[in-house]
Amino acid sequence: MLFNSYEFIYVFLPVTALLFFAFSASGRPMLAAGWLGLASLFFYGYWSPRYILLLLASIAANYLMGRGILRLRDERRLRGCRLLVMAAVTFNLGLLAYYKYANFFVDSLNALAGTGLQLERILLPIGISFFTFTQIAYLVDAYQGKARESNPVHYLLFVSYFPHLIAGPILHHSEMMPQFADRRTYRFDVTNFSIGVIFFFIGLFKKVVLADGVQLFVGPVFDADPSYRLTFLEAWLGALAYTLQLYFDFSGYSDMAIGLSKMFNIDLPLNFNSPYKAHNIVEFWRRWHMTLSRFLRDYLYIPLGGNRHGLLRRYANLMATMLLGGLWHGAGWNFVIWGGLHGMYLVCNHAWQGFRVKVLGHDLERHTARGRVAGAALTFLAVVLAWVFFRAPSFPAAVNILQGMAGIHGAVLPEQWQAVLATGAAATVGGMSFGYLEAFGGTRQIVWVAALLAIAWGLPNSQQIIGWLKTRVVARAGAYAAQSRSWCMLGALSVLISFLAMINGSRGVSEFIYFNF
Amino acid sequence: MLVTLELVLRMLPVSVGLYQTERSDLWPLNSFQAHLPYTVSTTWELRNARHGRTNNYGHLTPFDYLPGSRPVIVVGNSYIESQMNDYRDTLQGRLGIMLGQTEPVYGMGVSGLSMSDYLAMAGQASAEFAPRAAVFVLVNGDISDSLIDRPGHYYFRETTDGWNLTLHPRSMHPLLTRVRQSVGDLYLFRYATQNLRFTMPELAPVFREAKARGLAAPVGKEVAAQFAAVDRFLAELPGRSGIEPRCIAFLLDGDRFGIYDPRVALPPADLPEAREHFIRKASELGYRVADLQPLFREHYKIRRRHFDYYPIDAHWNGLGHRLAAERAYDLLFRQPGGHC
Repeated sequence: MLFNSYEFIYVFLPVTALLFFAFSASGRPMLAAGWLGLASLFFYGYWSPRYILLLLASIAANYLMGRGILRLRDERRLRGCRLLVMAAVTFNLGLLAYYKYANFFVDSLNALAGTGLQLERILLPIGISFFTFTQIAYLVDAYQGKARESNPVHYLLFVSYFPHLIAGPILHHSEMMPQFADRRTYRFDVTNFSIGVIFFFIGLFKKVVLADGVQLFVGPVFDADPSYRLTFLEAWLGALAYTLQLYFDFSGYSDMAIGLSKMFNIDLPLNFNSPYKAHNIVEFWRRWHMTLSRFLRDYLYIPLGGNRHGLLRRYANLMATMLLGGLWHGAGWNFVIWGGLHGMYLVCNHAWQGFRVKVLGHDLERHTARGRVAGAALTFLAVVLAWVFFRAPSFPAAVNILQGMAGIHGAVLPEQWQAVLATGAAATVGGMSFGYLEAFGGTRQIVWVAALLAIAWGLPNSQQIIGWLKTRVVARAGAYAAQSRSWCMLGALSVLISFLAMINGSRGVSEFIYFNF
Repeated sequence: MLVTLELVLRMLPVSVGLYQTERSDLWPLNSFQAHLPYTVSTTWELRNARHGRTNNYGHLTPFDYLPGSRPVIVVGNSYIESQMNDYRDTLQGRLGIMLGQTEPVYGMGVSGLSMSDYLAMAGQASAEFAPRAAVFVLVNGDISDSLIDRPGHYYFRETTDGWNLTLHPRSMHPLLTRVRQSVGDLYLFRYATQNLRFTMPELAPVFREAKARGLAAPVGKEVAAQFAAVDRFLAELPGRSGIEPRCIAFLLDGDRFGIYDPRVALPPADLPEAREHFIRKASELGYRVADLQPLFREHYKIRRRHFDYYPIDAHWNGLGHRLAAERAYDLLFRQPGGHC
């Protein structure tokens, strides 16, 4: 079920919230939590009922293995504990390998060794990467003594909780379980509910208006016929359109997830913090898909040795982490290249910072305005180039776009501009020719890309907007006034959400990009 | 909030002003209410905004139609109504230019029509204008829709004496009519229903799927029904329109999206056998027939230009209309058997 669908907005969400707070009000928090878990399973099964069993099996197995790890740890049987955690992680990775990577491995083997192995196409269960990683984190934390869960209902809810189940944020046991156990969670709070609705509205707006608005200009470039040579303008506008679509689509989804959860008085971790405003690639990864970055850092980079074994080892660890991070996104070589590029960017960034401190004697905390702008521009450029591999359906398609961006296929201008430009400025632009550009979406595309760039760079992000609303609108009012304002806001936002849902409905099904991962 | 939205939309080119004629006996010849200013735009973004005034028969044509003027008529659905194009770029507009503007060409396109409605339209046009030639544009779904009993539309119904053209009169509960009249002028309502194409059944996908399943007939029966509808249409058309078959041209649209990218090919609503049957049977009866699919494919292979508003709207753009107009002109006015 999609957050932006009629059935979710008008049926699933109201029914789930109503019964959750009804059970809560009757003084049965466990029933309320159980209901939320059940509703989450229905939410998942609405897409494909047959994978509910897979999800339940994964939850049950991990819960039992987690219990086993905790017991062995309590009994100080550390070797057995270590073996069990290794088996549990292997089990999870095996599940992921089968469903997500089996076809990729077989195809790669066939291509490399010339073998003719055949494997039936395996349908990727939606959200498997997310619920698997969430549980691996829990198991490792249990082994390290950071997590302890005995309540199966809370564990079920922790993994299957519908706001995060399909595409994150990737949750950490320690930030969720105390909230499930807190009695304050099971109490309707109009302020929390309205904050949740605002988050949801912002996310829906990002998805329906911004991401789906600009996505029209992505397909003609990335899915262009391989024989068609993309020109400079087409390639750049297409790459920028995708850069913006992905950001507004995924951050919109994350906002909606955070908002939905807030309606139930549960805080989810933030996942985005204006990533395109980052001044270097290290900062970018602290702002983009923050919960994945955290997971990769805590459960991959640091266990590999992090920065504790010298410079070269640190760079090797960064590369390995990012390559695997790329592969996590999808079973394809383009994702590996994307991860590799980011690994390389990070290595360069750290090396440059080291050079500035040690050789040039710079203070990294001090920046000039020019330096900040140059850093942000370079970071953005590097990110856009890498997204080309992330979205392109094949390696040759990515190369075609990159060649276009480099101007190798020429810098032809759209023929519809000829009448305006040919008599004026173009006369001085030597060698510029005009022609029919198949993958160019017209002036409208330029307006879309410019407007979205202005929003991404110039406007506050969702949490900043809500922080402002909380301090200016709610906190300054008295309790009664704050409640009244919250209810008014709820009424107004309900109308706007219905309006956005209708816009979304007018286009048919529009899935979120990260559902593919 | 609703008032704010209404006020904001009033400043934007929302689709307003086109109201279907209340006289169902005159419809579809009299399409919208006559001589009213209108604005049309598509999608939530209000793309392709255009303004104009309906003519005396309620069509989106910048001149009035004269009774008894023996025009060339161009009949079709929303493709010919052509809200998204300037009149001069439409098939009828271009045909008029090709004929040197000396002979009238009347566009008779009404959104939602199907083959059975075209037959009724031909009869009405014959009585009113005595046309000398006709162009019919058939698009995907025109044959199958002509078998569906839709309120306000003509359809082919099987009776004991064969398949007959039947009108399902439009009837609306008086209360619903009053509600529609009172909210019909709200820009919010027009935006939702015209630009977003919002309908209440959209809220019930399960119901929608069940309904679709209920409508689907067994394949064998569907083939026979579509063949029968085609036969009936072709047999009755000369009599109803008063035009001999050699002066009637059929242009059959193709799956243009499938030409651009096979991955986005549209599933055919009309059975391919029925479409083939139409072409074969019409040719046998002396009609002029052109399948536009090969024409579009060949043109795209060479020029790589779209004939529509791909990927958001399948309706023809100026290029699609131009190619169709050229083909219609060839069929009717450059034929060996003489000028129509």
